Amino acid sequence: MNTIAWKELRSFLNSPIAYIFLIAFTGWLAGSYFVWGKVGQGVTFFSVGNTSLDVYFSLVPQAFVLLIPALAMRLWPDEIKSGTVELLMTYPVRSWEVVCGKFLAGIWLIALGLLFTLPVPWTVGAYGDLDWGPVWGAYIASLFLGGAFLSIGLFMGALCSEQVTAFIVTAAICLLFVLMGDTLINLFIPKGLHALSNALSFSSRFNYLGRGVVDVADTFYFGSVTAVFLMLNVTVLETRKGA
Amino acid sequence: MSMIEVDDLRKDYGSFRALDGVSFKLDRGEILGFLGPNGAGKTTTMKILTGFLYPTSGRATVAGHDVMENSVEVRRRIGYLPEHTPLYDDMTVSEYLHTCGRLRSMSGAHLAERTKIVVGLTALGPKYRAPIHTLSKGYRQRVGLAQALLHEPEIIILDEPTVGLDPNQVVDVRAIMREVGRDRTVILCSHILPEVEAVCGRVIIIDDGKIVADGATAELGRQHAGAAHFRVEVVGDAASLAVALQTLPGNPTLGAPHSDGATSSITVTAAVDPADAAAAIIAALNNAGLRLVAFEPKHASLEDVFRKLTRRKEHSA
Repeated sequence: MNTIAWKELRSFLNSPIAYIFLIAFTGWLAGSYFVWGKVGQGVTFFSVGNTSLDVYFSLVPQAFVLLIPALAMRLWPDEIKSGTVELLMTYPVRSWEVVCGKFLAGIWLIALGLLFTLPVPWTVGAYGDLDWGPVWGAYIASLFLGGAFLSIGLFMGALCSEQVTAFIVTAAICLLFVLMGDTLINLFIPKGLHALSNALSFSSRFNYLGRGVVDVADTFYFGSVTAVFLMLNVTVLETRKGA
Repeated sequence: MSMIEVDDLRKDYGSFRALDGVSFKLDRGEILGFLGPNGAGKTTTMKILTGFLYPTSGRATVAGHDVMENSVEVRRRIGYLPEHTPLYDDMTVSEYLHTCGRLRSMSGAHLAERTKIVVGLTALGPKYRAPIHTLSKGYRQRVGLAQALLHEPEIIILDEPTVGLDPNQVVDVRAIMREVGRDRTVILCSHILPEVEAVCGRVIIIDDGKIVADGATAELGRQHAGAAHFRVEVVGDAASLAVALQTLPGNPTLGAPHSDGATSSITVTAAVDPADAAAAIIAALNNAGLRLVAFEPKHASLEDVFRKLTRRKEHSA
């Protein structure tokens, strides 16, 4: 599993995608927060006028919706297209080891991206009193959210076998999960489904997690979404053998 | 115990039946040539043996392990070079072999030593630090071979290993196959017949998902010859040669006689026992008073057998 994770990380770092991801992610968060404001709302650190990082962390889901599908889209389609999947799957490694190895490589890269954004809370901390508890909570939440997005992207890559399709479908699904539970979106769905939509929403759970309340139910939710999509990925690989 | 046992293997892709009841056994030390036209089921069989695909029905075991139930054990024992030699292009040869070794749970001194041996065997030394995407087709093929041999597998499966190589490289790759085939089981998938004749002791020919011939390479030609071929050359003109052979028993097929100054030659194909046919031809020439210059029996080559067994109906466009 670690060998596969290393292999994937190496190939990430050999391609521009890893650097684009890191730069775009850091730039998006820091830029939106300090300079041009959050998409659709225009609030920045300066307009909020306090040292709460709520606005800052609310940028994470929207950045992830675009950037993580881009990161995940190459993990399977590249192997399937070049035929190396036949090498990989005929080595004495189990399908779940391959899937988890690829997932791990993506998680490392997401963690690295989050690490690169640490100067933002540092800067804010320099302006005034910053409560670091919620900050760490929000970073953990971000990693869990990233993991869920990544597992969806990984699965879609294996299913679609094609980068662009995988990217679009993954981004659409992630966006849906983020928008669910939003008051505006709830206008369009029957009232009876609001509870379900709220329960499945990534945003509301992410917000709770980010307020420094590391809720077992929320972590468990992100963990299970990730696990489900990783398992679906293994199932796709196994089913393909019989196809 | 056989190294490989395949029993009544079937594989359907949707409504297309790629394999239709394939069975064979292979012992240690055998080099098997697995022949067939494109789309006959060669690659599908190899993909099932390596655990990449599951059969629709039937059973296959490798060193006693079932390919479906004990896939990892099977894959441990096989070195596989898939068709088209897929490789991780962004790695260097050394990184690639290292990764392959790690995926096979090799490490440290053992991996280093084995790497050195296979790099020597496949003459990859000069390109050891080169990125794979910069390599020529011949070198790529050698990297694929090195990868397949790295873990000293008991069984080596090579799918079209010499496609796209120049004649020198082909000779090199064949030498490697013969070398490793001395104490291992090798399956060589190919439709390059001289290659199979040169390297393999045994041949299986597959067509439309069914095995149509299975036997020692040398035996096959004899078994499937079906007809006796001779080239006859005599002193005299072509017309008298043709006339002399017209009364042969069994109504043989005569080729167009060919005159070359003082001598004339003709090919005779008779659907009878070769020894009887030869005796009849010589008797006929004696009766006609023609002096024999050359008399060559032509054995069916593997190519003839292959063509005969796998020729399909021509599809009109």
